[in-house]
Amino acid sequence: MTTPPEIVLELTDICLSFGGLKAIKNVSLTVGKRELVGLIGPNGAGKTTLFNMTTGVYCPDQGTIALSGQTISGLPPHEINRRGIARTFQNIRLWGNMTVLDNVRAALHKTARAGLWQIIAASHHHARDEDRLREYAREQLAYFDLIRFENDLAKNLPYGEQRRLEIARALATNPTVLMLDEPVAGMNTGEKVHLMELIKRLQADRRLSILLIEHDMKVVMGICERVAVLDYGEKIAEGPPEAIQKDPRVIEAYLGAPQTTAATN
Amino acid sequence: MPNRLTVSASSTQRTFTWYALYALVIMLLSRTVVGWVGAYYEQILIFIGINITLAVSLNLVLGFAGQFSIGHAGFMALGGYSSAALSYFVLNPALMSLPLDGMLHAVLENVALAIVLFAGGIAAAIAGLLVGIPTLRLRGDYLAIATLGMGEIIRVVILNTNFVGGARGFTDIPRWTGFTWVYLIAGACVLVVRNLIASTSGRALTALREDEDAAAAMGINTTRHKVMAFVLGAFFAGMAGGLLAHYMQYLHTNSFTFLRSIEIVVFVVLGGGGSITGSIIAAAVLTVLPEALRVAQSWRMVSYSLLLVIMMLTRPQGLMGGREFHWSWILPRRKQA
Repeated sequence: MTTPPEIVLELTDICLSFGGLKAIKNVSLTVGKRELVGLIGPNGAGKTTLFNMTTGVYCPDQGTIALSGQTISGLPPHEINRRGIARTFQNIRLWGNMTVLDNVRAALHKTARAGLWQIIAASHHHARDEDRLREYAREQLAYFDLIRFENDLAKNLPYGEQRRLEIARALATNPTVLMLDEPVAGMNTGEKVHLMELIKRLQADRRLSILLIEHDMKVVMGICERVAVLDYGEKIAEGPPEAIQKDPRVIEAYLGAPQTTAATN
Repeated sequence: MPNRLTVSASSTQRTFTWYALYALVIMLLSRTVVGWVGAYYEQILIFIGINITLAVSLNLVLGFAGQFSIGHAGFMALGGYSSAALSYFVLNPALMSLPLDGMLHAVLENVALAIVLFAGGIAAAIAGLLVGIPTLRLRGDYLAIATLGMGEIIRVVILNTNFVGGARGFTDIPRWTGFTWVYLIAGACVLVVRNLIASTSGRALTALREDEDAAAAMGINTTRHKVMAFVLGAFFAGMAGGLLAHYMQYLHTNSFTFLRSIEIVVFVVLGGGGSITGSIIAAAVLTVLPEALRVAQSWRMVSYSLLLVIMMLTRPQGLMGGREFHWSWILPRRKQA
């Protein structure tokens, strides 16, 4: 047995209610350093809600979220991003009327060094900083094979490229944890394989911890090292992909209990 | 609203060279053409300049940052009244009491004007900061209503402030400004907004217009950027108010009702949100149009409104549709190195 990796993201006993609806019930989850964890579950299980809490859109009613040992629950989204968590969205949320290059450059905002007065006076310092940002952004686009689109508006990109750009944009914020919300949704088989390779490559090249929501079981089983299953806001199983596939509770959550099926027949 | 503004390594030097050239042209024009066209056309030109400042500053908030503010006239009123109060009660009496000859007096008058304009801008910016921090958490329609209410509050408070004239209006403001100053400020406003938009802060603003949640998730402090745009917009609106005060020599709160705010919104929307060039053209066209339509006599405002409807129907994205003027439109394209 290898020793478990150092924990980077740790959710402890998280609860969240929307009015009377308990969306998340006592969920605990960890993501280790350079680990690729999958989060699966039927529709409405609370996967995206968990993402939203981790990235600061919602504040958990109970429990804590910690990044590298520091509590981040309750911080605003931009602050959580600055601490090192970046995400993509289930329904692509690029800045459509900005160019591909500007989508990445805007995500580099926090690394910009020029102050407001230098910007207004168009100082040399600012110009050099702009050059640096542009070069860095173009390198990023080249890595993601998007450089030929750099001057196109993001909304005009093909679907698969939009998904890739969203990942490129998230990575521009230089995260330690990358959270991908259904990255291959709506893609064809070829695009899926391509994106799986990209995710594996990112994990290795960027020393990233990745948490991934996905419905496509081929993808989940293909790349995740560990899988957690949510159902009705509760974590019902966790473990290596092969074990999860055979877990009766998981099968029940997805397909219903075998007895019930037999009774209706 | 596409935004394809790019700035290649620009420098302070080049920025100031451009502005100095522009100032020179404005001063030359003021000595020549403006003198020849007569007072009526000069006044129209001055109103165009003031409206350009208002439109471009609101474009920063509405077109680039995407925050629907309809309280711009309130900031204009605040800037106008505070700069007028400063010149009427303090600087003008002080200037009058000095035994000066013509030349020195004229120089000091310009210095005094610069001070009161800046003070008016700062007063409006402070109001923008105080109003912006709580209201800019609101989105869309709610922000529009909040800013509309704020503009009206500023107007009503001024209306009930007796020492600036109250309902009688503020009279006998010194006439310190004219064509030159109006266009120097308009040029400065365009320059500042342009440099800001082409910078990392400008991209952050555009990002939060396009998708605020995504912007926050990418580490952009959305509230801070909205407040920054709002404060800068208010500052230039305040300056425009000061220019109006020291040109008209008279201020009345009736000039700053929410209809005035709507008019500025129309400049931005018609010119194309997110296009500085569009705001400039729309401000100029819509200032001239009601004058040109005097031939229609009693149908004047009807035809004005009708033209607005037609323009919006035929070009819903605005005159410029988010694009900017570029030298390559008129000059042969230079080879890229």
